[in-house]
Amino acid sequence: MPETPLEDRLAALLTRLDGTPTSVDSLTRFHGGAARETWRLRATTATSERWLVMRRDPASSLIDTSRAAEFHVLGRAHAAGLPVPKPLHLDPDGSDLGAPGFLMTEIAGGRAASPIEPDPYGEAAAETGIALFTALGRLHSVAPDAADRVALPMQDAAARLAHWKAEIAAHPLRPEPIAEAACRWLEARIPEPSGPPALVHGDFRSGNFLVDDQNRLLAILDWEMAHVGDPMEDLAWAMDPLWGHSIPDRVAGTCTPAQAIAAWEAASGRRFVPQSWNWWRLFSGFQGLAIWITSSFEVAHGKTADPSMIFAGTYPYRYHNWMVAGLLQELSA
Amino acid sequence: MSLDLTQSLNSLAMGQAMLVAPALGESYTGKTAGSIAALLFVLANGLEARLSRQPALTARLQALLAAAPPAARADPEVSAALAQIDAATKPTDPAQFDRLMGALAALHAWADANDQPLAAAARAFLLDWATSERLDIPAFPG
Repeated sequence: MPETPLEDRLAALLTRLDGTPTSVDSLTRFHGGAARETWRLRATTATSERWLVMRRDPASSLIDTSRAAEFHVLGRAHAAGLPVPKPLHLDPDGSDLGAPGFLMTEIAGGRAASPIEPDPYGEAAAETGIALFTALGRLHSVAPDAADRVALPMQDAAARLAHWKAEIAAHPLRPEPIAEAACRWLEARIPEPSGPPALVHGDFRSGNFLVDDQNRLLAILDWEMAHVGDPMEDLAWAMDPLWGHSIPDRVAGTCTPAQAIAAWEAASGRRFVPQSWNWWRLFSGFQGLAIWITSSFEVAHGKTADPSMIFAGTYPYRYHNWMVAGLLQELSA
Repeated sequence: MSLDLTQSLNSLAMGQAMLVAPALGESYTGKTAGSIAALLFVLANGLEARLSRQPALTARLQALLAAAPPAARADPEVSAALAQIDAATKPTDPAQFDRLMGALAALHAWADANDQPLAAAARAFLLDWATSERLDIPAFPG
């Protein structure tokens, strides 16, 4: 049986949800976002027109994540007043969208930086960074409730490490002596929690947020790796040099580390814990390696030819191998 | 003399960036074509230098493994990994290089627990190797 065109699927879904005949056109796929297919569409009724975004599973992905978890945390962040799209409809089994996914509102007029783009935030970079780390602090100020603990994985430092170790083991392609050495170092030094558990975005970094034409923060995207855990994880990933646009002494290509931490502490009501920072820095590189190794495995086994997956297994993989090897030297001195 | 690898990759990247991507515009396929161009530029950048460093790094890796102490060789994991190395295969063969790196991973794990100078030597090699393999972002042609 021929597959129902995506526009027809979406029109039928929106007609059902809104209780009024709705047509869908201008369906275009966003570039990037290797963890999901992301599509923009226009929905029109007799009396209204609106732009929406659909995210759904691709045939192959950088990481295996849950649609329901992403939809849930997006709703939590939206309710907390964070700059995020409003989630509209979850399709956990793909019966509406052709693959598991969800619909959300579009936040128009923004752009996301490419990881290899030099100085993407220009003269407003410090303000962009302070807004970004303030938003992160606001997320971490939200105490996880019972529904969060049902919808999201509960993963403290040890559980996150075990998660990525298992991902590497499940995607054997070539020997990974640097990742293995990092894992041994990390397993031997699991840190105490930095405070009460928080809602952790899980992929909070330059490229996963939108800015307007003045480089003002518009929206935080890509929540598919969210979980309940230690907020130091988000700080370390956001400040990982891979996402720094090769600008020394600035994090995420924006502000200084001190400015980022001060903004985050002020908004979160939490304290940065310097004693565990080295652990989280190394963990960040290890997490990156796990993601890039998974991507490489998918490409090598012919499951995808998406250039973003090929890029992931090439430039970031080698960057994190180098960074982690350097950190192991530094931390063993 | 024909095009070398760097020239070939750079030329493919230019063709992708200047012929294919503009024709496809701002569409998903157009941006994908642009990504392929960027990736080709990144791979081309420093390629010959990376290749020229490989023989010396491989020789150093072989020497590190050859110097493994008897106690390490008695370890089942190290012993099994060393046994995978096929003496008849050139070390520059990708599969053979993987076997050498697999043996280093096992030796490093043993050394972390038993032999700190050897562990330090393994870390130093891995950092030099990763530094050599790291890709730099070139200045993309306007």
